[in-house]
Amino acid sequence: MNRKNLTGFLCVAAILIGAWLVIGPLRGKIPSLLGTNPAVHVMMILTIFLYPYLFITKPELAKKSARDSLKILSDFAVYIVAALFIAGAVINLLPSETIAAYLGEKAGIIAVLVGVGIGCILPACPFLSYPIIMGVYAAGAGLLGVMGLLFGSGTAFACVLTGDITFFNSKMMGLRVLLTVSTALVAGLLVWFAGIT
Amino acid sequence: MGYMEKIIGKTWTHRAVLIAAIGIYLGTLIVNPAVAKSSAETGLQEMRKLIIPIVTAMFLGCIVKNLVTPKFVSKFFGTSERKEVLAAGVVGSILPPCPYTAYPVIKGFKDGGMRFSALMMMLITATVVEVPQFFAGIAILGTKIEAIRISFAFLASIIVGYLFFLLYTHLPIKKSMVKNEALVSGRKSTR
Repeated sequence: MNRKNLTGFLCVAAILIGAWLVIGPLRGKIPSLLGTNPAVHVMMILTIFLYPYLFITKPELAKKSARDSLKILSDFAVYIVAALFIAGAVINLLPSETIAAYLGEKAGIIAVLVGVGIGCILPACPFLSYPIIMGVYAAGAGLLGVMGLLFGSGTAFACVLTGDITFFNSKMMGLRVLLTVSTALVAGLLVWFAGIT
Repeated sequence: MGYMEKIIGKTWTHRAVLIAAIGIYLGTLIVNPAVAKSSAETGLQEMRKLIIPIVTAMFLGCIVKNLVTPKFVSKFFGTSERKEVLAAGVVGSILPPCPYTAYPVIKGFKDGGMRFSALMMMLITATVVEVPQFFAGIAILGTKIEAIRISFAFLASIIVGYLFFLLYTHLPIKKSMVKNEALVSGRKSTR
């Protein structure tokens, strides 16, 4: 067995054992600093073993991935912190009755429309928009409202619109916004029809 | 990006998030300091809970982004228009969420001769589906919400994309609305 295969075998074995540990015996015993979702813990184990494997087998790709990650981290750190503080404010400031009325479980199709409408102007970057959506969810929104926010997020955000104009033109921007907002509404309606709560 | 740009933002779209956070906290501090304090505490709690998962999601997302390239995925599809629309949908869905990263790739496909209906499908999935957000979604919102988001967004994109394809291919929309070349080639053809 050559070095690459052996490394691959050991990494896969380590990932499988680690995933079994965090889903099984260690579930609920991991510090909250590392998140509370077992899927996140599996993701961490995957990351921890995937990088050494790639550093041995495809060092250039591993270095590029690490560099890209650090660049995103350094470029976005301030905004991520700001978005998390906005999420904190949303949880405390927005009245739960208002959120329940427009984005709650009982709002039905209204939650989809309001969610997509608000989602449109949220940032396209998930590290900025998701904490805010999480804040709305924690403040009392239902699954349908949250899905509306997620489907709509970034479709008409300023940097996406400027991207449309920079790389294409204003007609393309209009058509893209029309089609993506329609897609977000269709997706929300599909979730509504499916009755997922 | 210099240190000042990192702090105050390179563009107004980035600054908007900062300004919103500062505005909300200043306003709340004046109107109701107790709520401002509890909001800051909640913000810090969220940060403590999410910062390591978010960083992990970034590192894993970058590996996936570099491993699964649009070129790699498009190899698996045929060349008929119907298949090209589907391939464009799949390729668009794996593009990064940032338009300034995704759009040059989409423009590259367009300049390479991709059909207009496929181009629109790629733009739809690149904006709505965004598979690379998967890890951020799991880290922040959980597995269930993220699974619903990706599956329903992709399904809706296929529905809307194919409706547009049918309208564009078989109905008068093709001649009356689009004026294909002028629209697709954008600035070049408007000169």
